[in-house]
Amino acid sequence: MNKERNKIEDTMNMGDHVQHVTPSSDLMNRLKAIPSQVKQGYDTIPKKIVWMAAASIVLLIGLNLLSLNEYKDSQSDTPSTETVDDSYLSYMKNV
Amino acid sequence: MHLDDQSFLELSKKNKDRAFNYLVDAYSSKVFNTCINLIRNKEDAEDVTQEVFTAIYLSLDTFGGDSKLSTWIYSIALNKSKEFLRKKTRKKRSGMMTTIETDDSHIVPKTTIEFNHPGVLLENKERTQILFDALDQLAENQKVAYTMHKIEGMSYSEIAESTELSVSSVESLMFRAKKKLQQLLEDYYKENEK
Repeated sequence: MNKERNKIEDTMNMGDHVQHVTPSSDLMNRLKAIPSQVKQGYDTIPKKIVWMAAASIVLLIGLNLLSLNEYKDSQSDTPSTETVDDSYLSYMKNV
Repeated sequence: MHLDDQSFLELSKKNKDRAFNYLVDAYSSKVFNTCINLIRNKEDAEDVTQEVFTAIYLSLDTFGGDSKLSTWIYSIALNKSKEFLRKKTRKKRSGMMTTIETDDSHIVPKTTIEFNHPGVLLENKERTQILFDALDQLAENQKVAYTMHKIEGMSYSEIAESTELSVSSVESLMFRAKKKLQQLLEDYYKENEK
């Protein structure tokens, strides 16, 4: 029982034997490079995003104009209800 | 060069990059050790340390000195490490490799992370791994408190400050963590000595 308790106690104290680890020079270089990487990211990514956003807006406006034109054309092809009514009334009068 | 928090804030306003370089020199070791003691894999801890410092650099402008600089950095390191561990645990749970239900022992590694801690000597590796696996069975805040106190040697008040808890809450966390660990290890050794 005592042996087991000692074993448990020893295992629980293993944390005391964990040594401090010094970060590698590779990691230090990676950390020091963060500002330039972040700035690079700011320089490149927004440009792409801006161009993509601009292209989408142009596309959206173009599509809207196209559908508006088509709508107008379809409206001018079909006679208006007023004209139909007028012709119907005059026909009826003649009858 | 050591700067107090006020001088650091002034430097940060004048020259953000120099202030960041100071932080890397002053805190990289502490942050890396926090990450490696929670994650227990050198490569993963390095990646998380990089994430921590990237987050620090991006939010340097928002640090207004309301809390201590060391507390602020430590809480970012803790959150990033916890986030990483949660992702790893989730991955293991969603995968088909979990053996929780079928394993006889009560101590089952919860994550897929390979143990690779350069601070653990070879002769202690086996028992330290048993301790770490048992720690993984604890509630997250108990595990963090135990690791900070027993492995990193932080005082209860330092832990309370970093985790934004009261000292009495940390004491209670530690009490429960020790009790649960004892139980887990007792079960483990009983199972493995049959």
